[in-house]
Amino acid sequence: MTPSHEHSTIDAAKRGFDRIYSDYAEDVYRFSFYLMQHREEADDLYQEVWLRVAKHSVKLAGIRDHKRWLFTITANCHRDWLRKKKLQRLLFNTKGLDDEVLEIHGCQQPEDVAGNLDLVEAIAKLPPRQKQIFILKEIEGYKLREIAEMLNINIGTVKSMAHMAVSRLRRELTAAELWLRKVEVKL
Amino acid sequence: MKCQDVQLWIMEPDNDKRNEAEAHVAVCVECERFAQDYGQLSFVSNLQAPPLSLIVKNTVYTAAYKCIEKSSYRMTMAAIPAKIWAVLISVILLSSIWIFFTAANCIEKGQVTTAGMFAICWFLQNCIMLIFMPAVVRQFRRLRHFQPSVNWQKQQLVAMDLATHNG
Repeated sequence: MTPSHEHSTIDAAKRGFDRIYSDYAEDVYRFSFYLMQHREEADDLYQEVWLRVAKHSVKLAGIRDHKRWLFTITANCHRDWLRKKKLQRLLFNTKGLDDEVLEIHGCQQPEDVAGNLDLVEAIAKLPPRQKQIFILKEIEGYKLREIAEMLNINIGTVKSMAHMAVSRLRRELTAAELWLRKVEVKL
Repeated sequence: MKCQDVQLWIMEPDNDKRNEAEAHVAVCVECERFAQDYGQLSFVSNLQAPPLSLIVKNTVYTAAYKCIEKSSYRMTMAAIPAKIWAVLISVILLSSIWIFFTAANCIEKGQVTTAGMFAICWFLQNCIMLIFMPAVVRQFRRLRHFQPSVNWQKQQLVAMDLATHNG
């Protein structure tokens, strides 16, 4: 490979990266934030995702749907992060995941989120896979089949997890009497 | 249709099963309640994450750029030349033959001679060399080939220029 060819490869990778970074940075951050529910951890996940993208930037030209690809990477990075946390908890007996998830109230929330803290808390309590599926379905608006492709899991599993997530949220929110409050507000 | 199928249909409706699902919801209290609750969940889509901080955005962008430089640079590394492979394979073959005869001689005599020890040391040294040689060769080839890209040089110049102006 000649030096000029090397340069053109690097430049092409950079151009591809620039394009998807300007188009999807906010989307990746939003997804990271809802997965982590904590600003600093969302920042870390966001960085991890883009570094992984940068490592594979030469493949960018061959990818059809960049947004879906980025969400797949984000979900994988989130899974890796959870594994690392679990290992840390086992080795060093640090705080559990559930304790950390409940810390979300301490972080700065925008007004829109603050108004729905019960819901945000309920989403935070969902198991990781269910949380990923719920966010992709309800916030990002993907179809269950697309989510199955993105997360590389069976469509049946996605359907069942999506159903479990909604059922669990219903239980949580009914317990917090959120439904009742919402109905009263409407009346 | 089972309740779970109907509830999944409520989550993601399609026209194929509309009549069947609607008929089920009309007679099933649990599914009707699910539909109401799920309808209320739709405000989830209006939730907003905090805006991405400009500092994080720029820092990540810079780090990613450096990472692209590094990974492209690794990707474009020159292959190990055939003559290096030929020498490495010859060395491993010759030393294997030599050690085979020396070891056979040692076993016959029932003791490890100086020659035997030398052969073992030689063999171990070759093994170590063969493990690390490709890495060493790649490293040298890479250093010789790599030139920073034009854009990167421009960025460096702009950064230096800014630094000079700022004082």
